[in-house]
Amino acid sequence: MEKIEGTMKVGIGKKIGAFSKKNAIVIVLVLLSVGFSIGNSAFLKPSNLINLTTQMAINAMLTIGITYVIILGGIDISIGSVAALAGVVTALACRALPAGVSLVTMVIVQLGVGISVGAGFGAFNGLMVTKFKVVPMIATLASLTIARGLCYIFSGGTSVSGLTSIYSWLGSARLFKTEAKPTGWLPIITIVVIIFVIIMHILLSKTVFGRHVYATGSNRNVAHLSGINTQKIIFLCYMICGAMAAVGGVLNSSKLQNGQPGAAESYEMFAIASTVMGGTSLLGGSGSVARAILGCAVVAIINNGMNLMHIDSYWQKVVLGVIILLAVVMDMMQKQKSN
Amino acid sequence: MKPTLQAINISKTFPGVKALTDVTVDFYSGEVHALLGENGAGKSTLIKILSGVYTPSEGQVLLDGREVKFTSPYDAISKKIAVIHQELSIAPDLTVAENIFLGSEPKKGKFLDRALMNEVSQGILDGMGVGKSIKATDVARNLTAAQQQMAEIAKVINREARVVIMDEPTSSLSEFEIASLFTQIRKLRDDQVTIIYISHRMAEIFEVCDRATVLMDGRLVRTQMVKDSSEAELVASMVGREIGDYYNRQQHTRGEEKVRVEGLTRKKEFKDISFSAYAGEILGIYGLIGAGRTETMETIFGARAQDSGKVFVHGKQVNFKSPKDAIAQGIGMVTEDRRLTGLMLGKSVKDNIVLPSIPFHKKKFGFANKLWEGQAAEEMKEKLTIKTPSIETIIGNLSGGNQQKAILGKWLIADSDILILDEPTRGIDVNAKSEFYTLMNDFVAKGGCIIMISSEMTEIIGISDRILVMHEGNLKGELTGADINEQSIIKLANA
Amino acid sequence: MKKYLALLLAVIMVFGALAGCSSPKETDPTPAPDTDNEVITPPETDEMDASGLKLGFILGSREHAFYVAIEDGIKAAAADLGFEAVVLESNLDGAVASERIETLVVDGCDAISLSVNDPTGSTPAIEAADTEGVPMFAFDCTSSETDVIKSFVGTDNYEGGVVGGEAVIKYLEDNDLTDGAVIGIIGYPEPQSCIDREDGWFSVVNEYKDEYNLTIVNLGNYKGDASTAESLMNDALIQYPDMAAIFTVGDPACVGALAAIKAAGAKTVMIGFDANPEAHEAILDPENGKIWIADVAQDPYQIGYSIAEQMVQYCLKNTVDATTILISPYLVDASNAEVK
Repeated sequence: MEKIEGTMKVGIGKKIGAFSKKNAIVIVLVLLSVGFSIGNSAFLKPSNLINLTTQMAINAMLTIGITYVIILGGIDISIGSVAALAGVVTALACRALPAGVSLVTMVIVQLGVGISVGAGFGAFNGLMVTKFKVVPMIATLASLTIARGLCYIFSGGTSVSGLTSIYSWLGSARLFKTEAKPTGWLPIITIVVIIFVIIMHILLSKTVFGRHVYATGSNRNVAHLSGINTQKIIFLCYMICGAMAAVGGVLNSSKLQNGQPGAAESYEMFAIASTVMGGTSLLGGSGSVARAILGCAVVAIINNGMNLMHIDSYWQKVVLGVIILLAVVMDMMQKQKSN
Repeated sequence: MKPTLQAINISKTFPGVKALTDVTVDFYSGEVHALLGENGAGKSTLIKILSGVYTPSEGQVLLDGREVKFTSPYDAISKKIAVIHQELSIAPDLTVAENIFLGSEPKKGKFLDRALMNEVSQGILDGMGVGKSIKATDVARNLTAAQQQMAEIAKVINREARVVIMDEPTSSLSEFEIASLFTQIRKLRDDQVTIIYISHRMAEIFEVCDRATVLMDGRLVRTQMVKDSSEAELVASMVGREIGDYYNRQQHTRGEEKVRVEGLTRKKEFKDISFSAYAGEILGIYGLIGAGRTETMETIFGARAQDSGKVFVHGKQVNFKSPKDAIAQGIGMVTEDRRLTGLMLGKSVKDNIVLPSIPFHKKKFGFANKLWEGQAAEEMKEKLTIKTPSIETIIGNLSGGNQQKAILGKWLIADSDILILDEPTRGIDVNAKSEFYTLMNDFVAKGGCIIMISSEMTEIIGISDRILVMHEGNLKGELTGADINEQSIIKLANA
Repeated sequence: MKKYLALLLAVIMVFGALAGCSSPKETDPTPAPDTDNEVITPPETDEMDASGLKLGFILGSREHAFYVAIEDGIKAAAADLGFEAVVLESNLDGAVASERIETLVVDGCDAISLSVNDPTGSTPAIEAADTEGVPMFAFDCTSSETDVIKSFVGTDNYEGGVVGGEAVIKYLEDNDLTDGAVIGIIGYPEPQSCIDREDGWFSVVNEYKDEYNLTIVNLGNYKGDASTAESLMNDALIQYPDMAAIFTVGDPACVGALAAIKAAGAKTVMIGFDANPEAHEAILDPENGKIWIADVAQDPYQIGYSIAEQMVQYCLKNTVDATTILISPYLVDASNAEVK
């Protein structure tokens, strides 16, 4: 009996060791948290931790989507613009709703319109990449400027405002209001993002579709010759990517209670950095939604923590770059070792 | 006569592995020296030391009796030691002349002296006797694999190399191209160049090599004159035991018709191909590069679209739009190039083995059956004796033979009863080949049908029940029983 | 594993170094007197003792000289009055501004002020912070969509546009261009401040439109980017090679337009807005001064200093001088430009 216990302990220790070896990002995350909480005790305040979840929400949605496309071996740099477009179109649609619509109707319209816009643009990207064989970087570069242009056309160049307060429920309402925290503890936006993370993580890691995404990203020829409709998989992944970006855009516009044509500009860069920090290979074939979200958390924590430590904002840019590099280098070193 | 290049008591240790132990070999000028051994025997480590990629942990390399210490491949090149790799290292968008002079371009003033470059290159090609088919101004991409290899040899000649190391130079060449390669090798030998030749094909060793050094598990077994040895003897010393009938030849009983092809045509690739393949037989397809064998088979598999003709599988006419349809009908295909079209190199053995079968075993709501995946992969690992630490090991880390077994396993798991094998034993060692043939025989004995493309004459004769010969997109003939011999094959393939 | 530790150590050191070199000025360690609102405060505002107060400021962007000057004013006020200033930037993005507000609330700031570059975007966060009991202030630009802002200190941008418009008209009159001249504006109709400037300018020139038979051209949106302004000016000069004068809502637009005017060899003159150091230099330059003749000056330093004063006053005495304090802009030309 004792022996068994002993080996079990070793087993758990090894498991933790193996996990942290595989996931350099976890170490970075813990270390940053410890560093920042020493730097300013406010960092660990519950209200700050909750703020962190809301601050990373938009980037998290963009990261989910781009993780699919990067695992596929592609890239989508249009997600920032698509998010903005989804925000603008959704705001316009919701402004046109009759006064006094219920909250449920509002949320359905917001997500429905947003996801349709995003999935539509994703499908356009997918079509360009699969049918017309346009290099993903170029196809999505074109979408980037098209979507941004449409943002300004639809909005007439200014923010779409004059939205009812229930429009902002999704992005800024919080549950469990208390005296100490009159605005509430649990943000709706956090719940929404967590739901999407769980669904999209399971879709990628547990389903046949997910297996086919990895296979297509690992070696498209092999996947095709093994009976996978790789064109369809690629198309669907770009569609998912657009849809997720659009949810991010809707959440953003709900948070700000208006649809801004200039929103989420260059957010794609943070999403790419996040997912790469989370171990997604830019060569395709490997990565995970959950770990990519850890990458998002690192970006959010760096921003939040450096502000709390009153680090000069010029230096913040430098540090963010350095940490992105360090995280990726650590990850690469780990992969080389395990090979 | 003094040796040109000597390896004296060389040992090489990598973290956790001793790749070479106390190996001593002399190489003389004007000899073709074979380096033999199974994968992992230490051949590549030795040539990497001789060409400056690795530095030895112990021992010395002597050139003309003087010790040389190479710290990079560049050092070896400057001492006129050249390597022609298995995967050709030609720059596809440069011309032949530009490739020949790559890194040592002649200049006139500040500018490239293109005229001189072309003139010298053409001279070398003419000297090799290939000047008619390869022009110095041709772009390398447009050459065949064999012609590209000739360009590499021209590069070596241009550098006046004294030692040329060739690592499996024939792996992508057909029988006839190999013959012209051997002509060049003999010419180099007559010019007193030292040639170190690595190949898994025993027949070639006897045809072109003077002496052979056998390595096993990083140690020197022996160095001897090739003409004083026999294939069986060399193979035995490579694997450390007698290996008996290499092809494990078995009598198969032909069953029902599995595949029938009528007038299959794909413009510019092959035309009017008609044949049948049966259960319980291995059908060999022979032909030169460019004969259209791979193209025909990929068309049957649904990976290419046919222009006209009919394909029947299990007696029913089919029209495959993609490999997916073919797989659903029980066809599996092991492709020619493991790295490009056979494997997901960065994925585990398990992921590779179960790939085509995942959709057949899915659970509710499209969830993948993880439990089944593990069991299936484990079963194949046992059944095919795939040597891997675990099914979770990254497949790129396995030897070629074990990778090939895993690919075979992937189609066995998918319940394929028709297997198309395209050069299935390319680049795998003797022992693994022998095991692979056994697996093929087992598959056919259970009523499976195998169509095997091979460019290796001894292999196709050794294992096929029936042979089809193709030439320039046409089916030239069929050989069975006693008609299966080298002469009749060459006659058909050249017609 | 060793390599790991080394890398991690490096991360820590980067942080250590940065925290070290950028931590706010050491505040006087002697404890501040109890700063109840009741505490005897001298009548003069400049003698308020604010040590112990922590005030948060969110600038639009620290890449603009204008905001950097505001930051200078804030820092000077912090040195004079003794409070601790935490200065962040929002990249002119409402979403980022909202995050920064949340961060400063968590950080324990006694009051927060920001330049509300995106009013609709940051209003929810401003109201949330107010609900949590942190008084909110605005500077440079404010939000008309909420009434929780205790005080706003800014430039009268509309008035600034008027000053710019009058300067253009005066140039036309002084140079006998009062019949059929072409004048233009380079705008940036996204921040409210720039929209106001544009409106102020149009209010003046439209009045003279018929009298002087003016052609008024809107050159377009330069988005705060000098090279965009250069292309806008290039395009405009192709259509109107004899354009007499332009007004821009920001100095970067003048920097870009100057290049285009010089390249085209046109006789157009410019009046900019902000009076950043480069504007002063150009106006005094013998070459460039012929084109860039004047600039509408704001006083960002004063804006920064004043908002800090108002915040301190509110925290200590619960009062502000006014809910809107507008610092008047004035015209800078060759007579009063100066190179520091």
